[in-house]
Amino acid sequence: MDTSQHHYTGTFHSPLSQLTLRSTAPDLVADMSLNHAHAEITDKKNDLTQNLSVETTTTSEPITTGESQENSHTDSLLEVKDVTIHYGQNCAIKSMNLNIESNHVYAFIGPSGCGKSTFLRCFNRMNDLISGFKLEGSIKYRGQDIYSPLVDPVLVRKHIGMVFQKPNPLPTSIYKNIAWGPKINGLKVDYDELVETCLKKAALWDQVKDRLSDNGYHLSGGQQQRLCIARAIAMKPEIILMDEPCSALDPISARKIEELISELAKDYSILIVTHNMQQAARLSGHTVFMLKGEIVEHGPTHQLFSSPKHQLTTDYISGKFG
Amino acid sequence: MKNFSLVTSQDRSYQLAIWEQRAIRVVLTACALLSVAITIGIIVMLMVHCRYFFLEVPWPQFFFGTKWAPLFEPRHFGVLPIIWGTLLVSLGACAISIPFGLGIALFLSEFAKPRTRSIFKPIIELLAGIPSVVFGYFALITITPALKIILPQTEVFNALSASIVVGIMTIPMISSLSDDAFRSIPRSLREAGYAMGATSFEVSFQVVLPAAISGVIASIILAFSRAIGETMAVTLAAGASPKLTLNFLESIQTMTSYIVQVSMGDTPHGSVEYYSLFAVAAILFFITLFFNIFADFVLRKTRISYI
Amino acid sequence: MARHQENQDNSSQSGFLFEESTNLQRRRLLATLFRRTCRAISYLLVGMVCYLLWDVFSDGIPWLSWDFLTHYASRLPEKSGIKASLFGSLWVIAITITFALPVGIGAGTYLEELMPEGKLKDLISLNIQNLAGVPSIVYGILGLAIFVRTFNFGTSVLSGGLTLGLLILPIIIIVTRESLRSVPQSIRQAALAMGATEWQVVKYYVLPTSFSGILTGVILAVSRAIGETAPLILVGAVAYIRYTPDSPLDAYTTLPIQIYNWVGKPKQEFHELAAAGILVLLAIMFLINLVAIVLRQRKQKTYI
Repeated sequence: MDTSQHHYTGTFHSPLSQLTLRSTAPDLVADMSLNHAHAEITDKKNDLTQNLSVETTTTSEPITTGESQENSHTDSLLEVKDVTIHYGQNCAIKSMNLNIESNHVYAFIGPSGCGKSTFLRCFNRMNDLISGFKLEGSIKYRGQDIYSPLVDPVLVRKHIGMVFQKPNPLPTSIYKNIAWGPKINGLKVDYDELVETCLKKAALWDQVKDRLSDNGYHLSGGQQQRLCIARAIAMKPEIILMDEPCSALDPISARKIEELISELAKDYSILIVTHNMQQAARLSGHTVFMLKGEIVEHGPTHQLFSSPKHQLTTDYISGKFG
Repeated sequence: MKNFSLVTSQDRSYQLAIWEQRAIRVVLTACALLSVAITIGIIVMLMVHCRYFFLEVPWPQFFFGTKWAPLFEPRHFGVLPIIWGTLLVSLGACAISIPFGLGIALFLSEFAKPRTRSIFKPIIELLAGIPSVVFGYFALITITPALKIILPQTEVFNALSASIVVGIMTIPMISSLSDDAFRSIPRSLREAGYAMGATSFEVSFQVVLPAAISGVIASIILAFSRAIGETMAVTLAAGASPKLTLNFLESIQTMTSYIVQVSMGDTPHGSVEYYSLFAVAAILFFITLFFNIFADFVLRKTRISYI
Repeated sequence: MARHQENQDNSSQSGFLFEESTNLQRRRLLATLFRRTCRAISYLLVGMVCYLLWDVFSDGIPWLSWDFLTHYASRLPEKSGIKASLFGSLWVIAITITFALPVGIGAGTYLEELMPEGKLKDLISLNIQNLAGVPSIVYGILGLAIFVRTFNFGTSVLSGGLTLGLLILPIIIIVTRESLRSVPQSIRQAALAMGATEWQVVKYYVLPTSFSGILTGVILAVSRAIGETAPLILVGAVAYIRYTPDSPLDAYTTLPIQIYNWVGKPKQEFHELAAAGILVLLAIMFLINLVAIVLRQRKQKTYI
């Protein structure tokens, strides 16, 4: 679908109520507290609900976005539409459009500072925590706008997990590292069993089963990262975002994490940002090449690496810049 | 080539520089050792005078007596009432400064915009710089009359208004030190919490606070120790009636305000009252010393490096 | 996949992202409550500080006049002034600075730059840390025993100044060390490599570089000494004095002591005089802090 047309249909489908909400969003964003802005948004949510009900009663138009969007792209897991991101005055992402289908590994490659991490962090609203962050456009997860003011980021993150560049275990026991997320989110499961399955899936069980009460910080770097992956799995997400998960590790640990990722790809949709083109080639089914906040080219990985359509892609892959 | 040795040099400027360095070393070493001399001086001075005191007052009466009336006949030297008064005011102060200090620290480190932060920080520093006698004025002239309106049975001198002002005085200590502790927690840890679907409350209390706990506890201990040593505000607000009471609305006496009371009067040098100053000061010194060392210990022992 | 919520008919906002369990609602309520409490507490404190300051202002402003600054204390409130205490404070602070500044900066420099690492250094550092936490009144007792009695300076400006000097000495040592620590190692190495002795490095490069930092810290310490009351009561600053000190061995009073004395009197007018005195004290401290802030601004030159 052509971009401009896409944009047009987007507007067409948007109900009036949503438009009004969007237009109030910048004020919200401007008013956000800087460190943990999403909290502020939820704060205002109740007021907005009231506004919304007023708006919706005044519009006679039938409101069907959720359904119709979903029908138009049955396979689409995540749908990025006209997303522009600003940090204060800096524009990090320029009108990005992308459809992500389920049960695939998507790799995002590009030189440092091209906005790939920023883009990845949009999908579970981690950017809300950064001061001056502003997003225009919409990102839909299974047809639902995750940036709707009515959506609590907490719920988004329950469905879309994340593994960070630097292993960041919480400063408590291995067991609590995994059980904490499900516990606060009120999952009623057998936690011992959950911890065991997650650690097994992350290929860490055999090494830590006798010392689950140890502090997560006492593990090695690679083990810490696997703990973080186990922690992400414990929330039973549909999607796992990975922000250069191997870059802070030694080559052997990195290799092991990579094997783990390809194992996980059977059960989860994975979006991975990486500097390492070999890694992208090994892991992913689709690759997105980004430059200066824009997508240059995206497509099936083998195609993108063997016969890139764009000259910039060719240059980047062959190492002429980056 | 000139003849030279790396062991001795006849170069005048070099000789001069070396001598200068030696001389300055001696002077500066003396300066540094003066700090040790102060500590030794405090301890020796307290001990010497305490010896005279305990020649006249048996130590069990001093440490376990429950009546403190050193200035009037019949004299009683039971230190417990003024220790109790000190604890009452300090605990009352902590009841105010802990929730306020931590609330402000969490607000500044977790929620406030940089601009709000840049306004709040100087105000808190300003609060920390206000002299203690000014807080005494607040307690006596502003807070006590206000308390009397709410609770008519409040006495003119009472432990409550002393607790309130000492609490306000120690808020900056807790909030600044805890704020530093919270801000030293790396962003990645908070992100880990949020990425697992935690709310800001859960991240603050279950990720940030446990990770920064040693700094927070140390700040509370230091604030408590400061409250124990606080003098002018307490003297002005709490009065001078040593008693073992739990009633915050009554007048009490603390160790510090006893010291002020004695030195404001004409106490003859060499009398029992004069030596009692040193006995009370010794208790004060060792209690605060204990808490300061304890705070240092907490900081050292439980510090985790997140790098 | 997306399901409509029953209670929200006609809404586009449907789907599992909008379906909120009571668990989530409760948690969000808690989070909102918590955040608002933190904010409310912070604003409450600021409000309280403002109220207290306003209270002093409204009481003290009517009494501020030239006469107030140039009259001695008196039994009659309308004839009372702070001349004796103002001069007393100046004398005491002058002595405090002459004593504590060189000794404190010297000790800090020695500990940070010249002293070999080891047990002794750790011990002295710990000792200084603890001295900074000793209650001010204990310094008063020390001053009473050492300066007033042992050295027989009596209840003079000298005793008071030296006592306050001991009190701020640990603070000056600590701020000096912190400022010196922020001087990058590369500067020291560069100078040493040019054949300078350790002391020359310190004298020509390290101290000048950290000068404004040290000065800022010293100013803050001095402003603490100006407001200090308790130790001076012990070393005999008397409130009722009708002359200004002429030599270090004269009797004296200081501004905080004068305030303390007025607050303790039952008459309403004296309380208002105390408020006026507080305003003068706060104004002096504010001016001093202003100098510190200006210096901190000028310090912006950084080495990375």
